[in-house]
Amino acid sequence: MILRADHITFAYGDGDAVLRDASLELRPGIVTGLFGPNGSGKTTLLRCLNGSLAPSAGQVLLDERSIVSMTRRQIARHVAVVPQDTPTDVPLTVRQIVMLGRYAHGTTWGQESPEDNQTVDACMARMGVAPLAHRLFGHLSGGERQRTIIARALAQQGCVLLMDEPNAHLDLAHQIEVYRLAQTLAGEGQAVLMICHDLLIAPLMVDVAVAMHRGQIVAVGSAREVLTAQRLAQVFGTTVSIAWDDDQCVTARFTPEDRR
Amino acid sequence: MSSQRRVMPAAYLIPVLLAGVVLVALLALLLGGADLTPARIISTLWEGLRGQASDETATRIVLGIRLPRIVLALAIGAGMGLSGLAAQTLFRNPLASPYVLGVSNGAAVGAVVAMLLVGKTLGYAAVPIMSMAGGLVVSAAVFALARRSDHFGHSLLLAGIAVSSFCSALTAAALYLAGERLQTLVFWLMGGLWQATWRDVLLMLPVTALALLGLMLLAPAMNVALVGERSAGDLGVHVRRFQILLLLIICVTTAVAVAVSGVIGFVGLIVPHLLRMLLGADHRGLVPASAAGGALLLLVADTLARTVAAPAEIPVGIITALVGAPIFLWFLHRRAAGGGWA
Repeated sequence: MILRADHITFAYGDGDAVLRDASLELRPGIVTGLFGPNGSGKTTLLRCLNGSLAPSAGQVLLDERSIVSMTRRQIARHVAVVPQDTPTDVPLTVRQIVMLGRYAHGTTWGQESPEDNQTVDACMARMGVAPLAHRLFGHLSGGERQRTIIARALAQQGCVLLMDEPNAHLDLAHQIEVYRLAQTLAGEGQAVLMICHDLLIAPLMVDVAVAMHRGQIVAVGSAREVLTAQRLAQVFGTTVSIAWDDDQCVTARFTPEDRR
Repeated sequence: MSSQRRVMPAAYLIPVLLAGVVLVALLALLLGGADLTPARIISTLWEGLRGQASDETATRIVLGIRLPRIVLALAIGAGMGLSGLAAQTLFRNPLASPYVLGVSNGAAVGAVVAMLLVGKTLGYAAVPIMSMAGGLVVSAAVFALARRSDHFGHSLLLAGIAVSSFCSALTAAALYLAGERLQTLVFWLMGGLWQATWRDVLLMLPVTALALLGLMLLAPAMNVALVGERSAGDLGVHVRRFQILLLLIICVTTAVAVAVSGVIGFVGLIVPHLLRMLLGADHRGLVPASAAGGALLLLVADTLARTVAAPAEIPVGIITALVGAPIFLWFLHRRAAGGGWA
């Protein structure tokens, strides 16, 4: 399934538009990285893509069907979200949290089917949280919580996965694991969007990079094409460049001015 | 405390609660000022079922006074347990109850106005009608104030607290002006079931039954709502519709309960909270357990209210707080390390 934002504009209340004329296509098999500074409209774009926010202009289409015409349950069967933050005071165990991913597939009275149980067990195992199944969510470390939330998104078994800074609470090894997971899911036919702040690993792991600046998409292409020193200076307002070595290893370089 | 969550399966606890309800109901039927033997009570019940009545006094006491009071206590208690659970889920706050929405106070204003001003013209129906009207007007006002907010739950809570305070002031003003009817009003406001009739049962029982059915259907979405409004939407819940349904269930159940029994506090707060400590937060078990637990607590409290100081009657709200608060504190103490919800 293809999820497409077609020239969408969005403003909160009567304020200025925080997203302007943004167009983006998420295709099966592709990991898309969304780069940009805080407040550039990345999360708003993600929330428009899953129909949580209705654009004031333009439209979001899931396989050419307008997403605002779909029910929340229909959307959740196709589009899963890993949010930036999840409340920690949730009185549920890890397994119960992951089982919430099956809500959109559930029955009227909410009984779990054998398929629900198998899916949840598999997703917990995949994210390495199966040993924590009966721990309370609030008692987990930041990284364990994040992996639980990713497992919950996997349990939705959608064809599009939208991740809002999924690496925010993860150590280096788990960050790489999440990128590898994104690549594996794309290999299985999913369309994956990741909002990224890291400029060291992400550029190597995404198929398509998208740069956002002040509510607009300013560049789409390969990470090498998009994350140039000139564009990073334009978007982040700081002089940082990414050096690409021949063996595809990247290093971020700051100019002496920034060091001072 | 271990971070492994140990809970009791709802399938074990609910039958225990229901057995408790049946036992206390039988006991409540036997207890009372009139000197009736168990055999007399059973035969009166049997005759009542067959439409016969050989002893008019026993029939009046058992079928006209004790039985409707027991059934009403069960219906109101179950309704309060359910509306308390719904309020705690709606606000994502284990200390929420229908009171914070202002529904109880709104219903109390309606009832007090009915008693003081229009009681004689509308007869029996005045208090329930005005009480329900008061509760529903307050609910509509609170909803209208909160509906445009992106954070509906929080806005609802703030609007509820403000409107609730306003209604409390109105009730206090009405009491100030009540003159010789002050004692009647105060006694009514403390809550009690001493005037229970089958008409009250016919009003309350269908509301409780519908609330139970509605919340059983909403239980999976109530589980999802625990992770917050935004994530609930991402997981497939139509959040605004879900919140309005919960609000409707809370308001109607509370308004009708206040209309037939006055303001009985504490049941809606402690029953869902205690059960969450025992069962965990899965609403598929919590919903029926809260109904059974609320019914049991209010029946115990009402039976105590009419027997401990007989022939005088203690307002049942005093008993629910006196019985409930120490149990609640004991559980809180035991679970102090378990976090706010459980």
